[in-house]
Amino acid sequence: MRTLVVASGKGGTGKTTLSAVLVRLVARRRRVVIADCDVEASNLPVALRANVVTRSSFAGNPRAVVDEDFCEGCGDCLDRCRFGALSLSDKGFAVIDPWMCESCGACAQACRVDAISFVPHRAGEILVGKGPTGPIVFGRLRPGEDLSGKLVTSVRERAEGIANERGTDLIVIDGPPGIGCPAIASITGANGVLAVTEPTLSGEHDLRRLVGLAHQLQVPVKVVLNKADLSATGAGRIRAACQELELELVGEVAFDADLPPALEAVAQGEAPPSSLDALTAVRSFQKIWSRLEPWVDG
Amino acid sequence: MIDLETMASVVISNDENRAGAEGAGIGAVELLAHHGAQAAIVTKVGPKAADAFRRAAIPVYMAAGLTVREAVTAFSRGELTRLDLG
Amino acid sequence: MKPITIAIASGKGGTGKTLVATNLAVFVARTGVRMTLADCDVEAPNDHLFFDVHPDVSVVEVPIPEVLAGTCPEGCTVCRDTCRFGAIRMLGGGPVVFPDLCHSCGACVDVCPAGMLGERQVRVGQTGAGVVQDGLGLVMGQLDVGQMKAPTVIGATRERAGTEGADVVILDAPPGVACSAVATLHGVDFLVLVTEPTSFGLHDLVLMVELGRELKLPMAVVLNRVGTGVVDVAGYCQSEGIPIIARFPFDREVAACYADGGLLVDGHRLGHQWFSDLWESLREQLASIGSGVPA
Repeated sequence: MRTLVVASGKGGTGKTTLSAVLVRLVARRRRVVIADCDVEASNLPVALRANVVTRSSFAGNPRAVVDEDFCEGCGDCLDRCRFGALSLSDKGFAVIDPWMCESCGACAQACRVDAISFVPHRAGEILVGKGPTGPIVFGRLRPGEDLSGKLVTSVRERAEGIANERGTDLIVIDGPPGIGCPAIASITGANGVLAVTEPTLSGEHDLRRLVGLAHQLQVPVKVVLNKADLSATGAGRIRAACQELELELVGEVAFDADLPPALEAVAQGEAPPSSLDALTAVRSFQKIWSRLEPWVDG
Repeated sequence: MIDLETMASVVISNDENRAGAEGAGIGAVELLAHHGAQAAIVTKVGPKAADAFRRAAIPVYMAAGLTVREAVTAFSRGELTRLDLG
Repeated sequence: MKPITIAIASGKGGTGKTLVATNLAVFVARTGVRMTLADCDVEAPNDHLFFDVHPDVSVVEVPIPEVLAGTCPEGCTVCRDTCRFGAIRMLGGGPVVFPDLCHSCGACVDVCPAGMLGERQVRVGQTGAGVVQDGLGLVMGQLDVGQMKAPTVIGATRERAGTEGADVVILDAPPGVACSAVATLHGVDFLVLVTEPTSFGLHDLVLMVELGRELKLPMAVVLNRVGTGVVDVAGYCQSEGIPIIARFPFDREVAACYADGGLLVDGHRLGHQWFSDLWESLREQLASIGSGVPA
């Protein structure tokens, strides 16, 4: 089983759009399972107009609640909470602010009358869909929830399970932006990261942080420069950064305002998939994939 | 868990760990440590479990594609590769 | 006087949060309002790239349990049983702490019957503060690569921003709608959502609006990159009763200026006007919720 992660330190570099192009090309010649690990804002299923086949609940940290029947308003729990989640209500009972609560249980430990308990809580869901390129697994985290990293791991495990069932040996992950928990969970254990960047100062800065993370996780990186023609100096900076970091720049894709609507049209069934071949981005990606495939396959 | 001297074996369930919030791999290692494992034979190990094995001082050996019997035999003959846990 | 805090956020990355936050902060500071711009996108902070600031750096640390010298009582597993995150485990030779899983709650330290647990400070990131120009300070937060405690660094960044003595604090939020977003948006006075007229933009705006409502925040939308898509985001805003306080057209000159770290208010012929209009609309919104900013 080989896993390629399409990632980007900075948001908005075109990761998901390019992932949609990539998987459409890959799927023409081999089976692939997609995992959309941008669980806070899962857009690849939108891009591919995937139909949802199954949904499973994703459990979050159990929520702490105060039983007012027993609470004596002594305030011991307030003293113990390090997150500012506890206060006393007008009626003198302890109240837990769910936005600040970390579900650590220190308050429950402190309570002499066992008035604080934990209730199960659903934090999101894992969905399996069917799209034009085959199965796509994605997660939806309810706004404001914790555990995005764990949801990513669950999405990946599900994708691996499906790939094994079907004898598919390639998983492509559309990663989240940033370098925090969900990004770490997306990149850990993968065979390669395709870092999508843009010719901007922000793009370069965040590329370096992403590469630092991938290096720590011991996953090799190759780079694709998207919207390459937006700034000639910016493009030069990215090329220089790749040289400095000893990373292969596998391709440069020009900004193409026609690309997203063309992908939409194909996803809606208004244009045949072959219509994509006329776009420069798609032609660039054909070359990019031919460079990536042997690398991903090891 | 297999006692190499007597070849007596027992199966331990890892279900509780799989349902946990985080660190299922670490929980598995904890279970092995609790049962006194002196070595572990695995087909694959994630980074969290690898770290836990290292900290528990339990050496790990790789045996992909073998049955349990084949793996134990290979281990006894010193034929399995030991994983570098860093 | 507590400053008025405005967060600039979006579900989707790359819609223009930093573009709006940096230019708005500069514009408003030039009108004489004392501003602090706080970069809360601690995983990928970019605001500092637009300014020449020499920040004064402070380390952000969290307390992580450490096992003290001595011997645990025979067979005792109280710390391990108390921890709800599996961050302290018995691995044969006594308790072992897994810092990545630890939430620094202190429960295990409190519950240990033998005084075997203390705490040590572990670095997870840093904050920096510096002066951009008269009346405008920049505070930035940065998570160390490989660390996971983004909300902690965001909290430290907001706290530092609050000590700068500004009249108005602008928070440049990270993308997404999960714990980092909550850490940035919880308790702010006003939420500005930056979006674009594409299907991704709308999809992620809907999630942000849901979060904003859960957090009970007054909201308004900046519609950026008008012309890059045909999705009726404006229609959605109208039907949800969310005012649109600015519309910026897609313009390659904007992209080029931004790409090289330039501010639109200085480097683009319409930049000053755009942000003047935006600030006017935003001030109206703030006044209507009782958070008026004196001229």
